[in-house]
Amino acid sequence: MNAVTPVRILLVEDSPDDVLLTSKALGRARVANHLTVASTGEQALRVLRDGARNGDPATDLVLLDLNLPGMSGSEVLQEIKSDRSLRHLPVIALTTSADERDIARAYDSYVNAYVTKPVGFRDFAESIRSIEDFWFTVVHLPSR
Amino acid sequence: MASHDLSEPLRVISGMLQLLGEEYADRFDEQGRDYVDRSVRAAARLHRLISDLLAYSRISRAPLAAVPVSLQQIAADVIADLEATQPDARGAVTATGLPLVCGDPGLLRRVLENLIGNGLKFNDSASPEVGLSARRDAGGWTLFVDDNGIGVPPEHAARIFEVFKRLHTRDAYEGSGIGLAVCARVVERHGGEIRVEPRDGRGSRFSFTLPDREQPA
Repeated sequence: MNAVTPVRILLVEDSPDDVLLTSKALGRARVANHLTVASTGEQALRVLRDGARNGDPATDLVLLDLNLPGMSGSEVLQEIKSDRSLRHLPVIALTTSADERDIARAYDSYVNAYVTKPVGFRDFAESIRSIEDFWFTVVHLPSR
Repeated sequence: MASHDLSEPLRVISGMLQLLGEEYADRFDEQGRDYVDRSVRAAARLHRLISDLLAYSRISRAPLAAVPVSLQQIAADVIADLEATQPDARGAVTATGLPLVCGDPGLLRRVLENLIGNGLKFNDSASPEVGLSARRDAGGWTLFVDDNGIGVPPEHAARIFEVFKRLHTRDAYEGSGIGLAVCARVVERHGGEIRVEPRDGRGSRFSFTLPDREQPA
């Protein structure tokens, strides 16, 4: 991947506070990134599918809150992973729940990673940085 | 209500306070920074209290397993984990003659972890020691956890098993005061009792009973 092209991240998160904290954390990450926010699952799928119809879901990584109003994060995950044009996208569940059942359910639905949001901002920013490092400097993703 | 519902607003409070402290650091004087730091630390403590209280409530509600449990093996595992994370504690904890009982392995492990951990934590000896042993009684076992620590004043002996009961300031000893309440609850769910008494010389002897239980067919 070309290092100067910002990576495109879709954050699916309904809480404006969490959107702010996540964008602040992304601002401190080492990898240049472009953040798009969807506040509902329906909106997230619309963004991804509109892009996919044009040949590019305009997203390199999805950060998905599982606790969404309306369509749940698990349902969004299942939709993404059962859609041929989207299922290659890495989806990271970014959630406050450390409940073993939630974790098992997410992996059953082919989540790529399950991350519990730490309490302090510094720790949270560190988690975001690790996610970016891993997905955009360590692993190879399908080319755009 | 799930733990993450309780923790969610707290995580935001804590995150925003840290951002405030970092991004506006040059606009605060020393006192302003101190207020923010205190708030961040208090939010972290509240988070720990919530997590601990939820863990306690899970221990109270979760179905109780009744399988053969080697307390000697559990003690060995706890000691190995402890020595891996705290090299200073190497050799400080010994366990001899612990029995095979019928009970819940995960919960009984919590009891040993808490009692061993407390024996080392509330201990200002030059070489802290914790010893585990057992006695066969009519109808069950009694387990003993002896330490050479600071001891528990007899007037507080019953109250230390209450939830969030702490005898020391946070400055002196970290902790939320949930560990012994967890021990008491687990022992109670196994039909036993837990107590503490002073040892001759120095330190405490914690003991708990585990009545014989029928293993389900």
